[in-house]
Amino acid sequence: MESEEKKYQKVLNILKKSKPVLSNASELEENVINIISQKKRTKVRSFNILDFIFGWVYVGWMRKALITASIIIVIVFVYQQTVILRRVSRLDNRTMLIENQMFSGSKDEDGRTLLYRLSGQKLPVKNIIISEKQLDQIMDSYNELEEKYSDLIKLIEEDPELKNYVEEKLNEKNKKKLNL
Amino acid sequence: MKRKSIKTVVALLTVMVTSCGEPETVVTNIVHPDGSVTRKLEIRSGEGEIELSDVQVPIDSTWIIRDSLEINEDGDTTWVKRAEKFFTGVDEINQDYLADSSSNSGIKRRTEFNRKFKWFNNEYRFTEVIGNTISNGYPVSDFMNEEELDWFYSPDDVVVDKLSGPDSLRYKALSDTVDDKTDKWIYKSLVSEWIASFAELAKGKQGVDEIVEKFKKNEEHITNLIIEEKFDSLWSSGIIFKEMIGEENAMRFQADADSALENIDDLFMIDFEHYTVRIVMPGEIIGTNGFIDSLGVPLWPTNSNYFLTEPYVMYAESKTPNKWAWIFSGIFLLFVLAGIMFRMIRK
Repeated sequence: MESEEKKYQKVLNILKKSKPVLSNASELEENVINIISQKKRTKVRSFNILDFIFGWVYVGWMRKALITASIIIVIVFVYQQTVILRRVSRLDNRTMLIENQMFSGSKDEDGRTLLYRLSGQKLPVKNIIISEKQLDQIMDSYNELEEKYSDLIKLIEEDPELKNYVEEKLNEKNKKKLNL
Repeated sequence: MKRKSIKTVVALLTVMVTSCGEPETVVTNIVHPDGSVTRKLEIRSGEGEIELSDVQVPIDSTWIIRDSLEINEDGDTTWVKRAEKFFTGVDEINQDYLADSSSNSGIKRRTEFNRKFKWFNNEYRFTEVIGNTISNGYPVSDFMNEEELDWFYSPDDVVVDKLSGPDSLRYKALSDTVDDKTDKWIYKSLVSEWIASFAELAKGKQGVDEIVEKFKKNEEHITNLIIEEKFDSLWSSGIIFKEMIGEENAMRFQADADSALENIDDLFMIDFEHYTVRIVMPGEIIGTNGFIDSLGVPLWPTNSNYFLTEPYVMYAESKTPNKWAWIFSGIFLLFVLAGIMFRMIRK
């Protein structure tokens, strides 16, 4: 037992005395210093405005909260706009009352008007069938109106100030109709 | 006091509904986003100068009033009164209604205003309500289909025009149907109100609940007797009453039944002069139950039948966009999107 202990101590002494020899210690030292100084430089360079603004993307809870808030905003926006568009489309069904004449609104039971509104397209023109008698009535009314208002139109045409005023008023009226 | 016959009451009611001679009044409420209201009246009469007491809605010397005359090409003169007043809120309008001494002072009227903040938009709702005359009647929609209701709620001028224009035969048939159904609705509501009034007057008396039940079961029968013009004679001879509840009970409750009938006579005899209501809302209109005029403004005719059994609610809803909310939300979304892209690039 004692001899084994002595052997162990001898080996340990030999190992302690035989330290690794650095052949290029100064070069190694220079390399280490270079790497450390480069890291410092990189750190200084990366502290810019983008990191400051978007620092939250590296914080898990903050990232999740902001993304959730964005999704909620988008959902609220889409929902509100859809509800409003539906309600405005329903307004088209209301009866118009102009000079004691009632004009029934267009029915939109399948919600097509809403789709056209959402897509920004114009509604397709529908075909209507009218009799020859009705067509004659329309033409007669048109001719009568033209004749009735020819003097007035002439008067307006001759007076540029009046013409401008009438055009302005008509534009205002059209704008109000469009807004509705 | 001699009671008027049921038919007379309803006939008078019909005359009041269609009566003319009162000035034509258009009430325009211009609603502002803060809830204040500019109320404008245009009153026209061909009968002579317009007195403030003739106007259908409250008006007094605090209003800015302008009078004028219009003479048409036939030489007919129309007296026109234009009045305007700024109200800081609906409470002020309601106070005027409470202190009303106009020709329609017997009618309960009020206005309501609601504003809701909905982030992207502010939504507004302005309502003019005429309270119901009787509280135990039936809704008119129980008696008419959609087309008939449209006709029922149509302004008088439109009805007259349609009855004398093209398709007059079809409209005449529709008008007759609506008139018949209106009569039935009024009579049935009248009987229902009479039963409720009787129950109130005879409250506490022995056996009154059973008798009220019997009346309710016979409601349709009584209504038909009125329509067939048999009710008044059967009532005055006491036959109908005895037949329904027995001779003994008829003796006990005759006075209450007569008083109840007097009460409903008074309810149905409330005078109302019709007018037109318009509501100009801030921003874009998104909902209304009225007609739309040529300027896109919602409008409602009024008529005593419209608020007989249910409140006549005239409402308009609109919205104005909150620009700052749109800008803020847009910037926020861009910020989050840019952040996500930044992270992806950095990875």
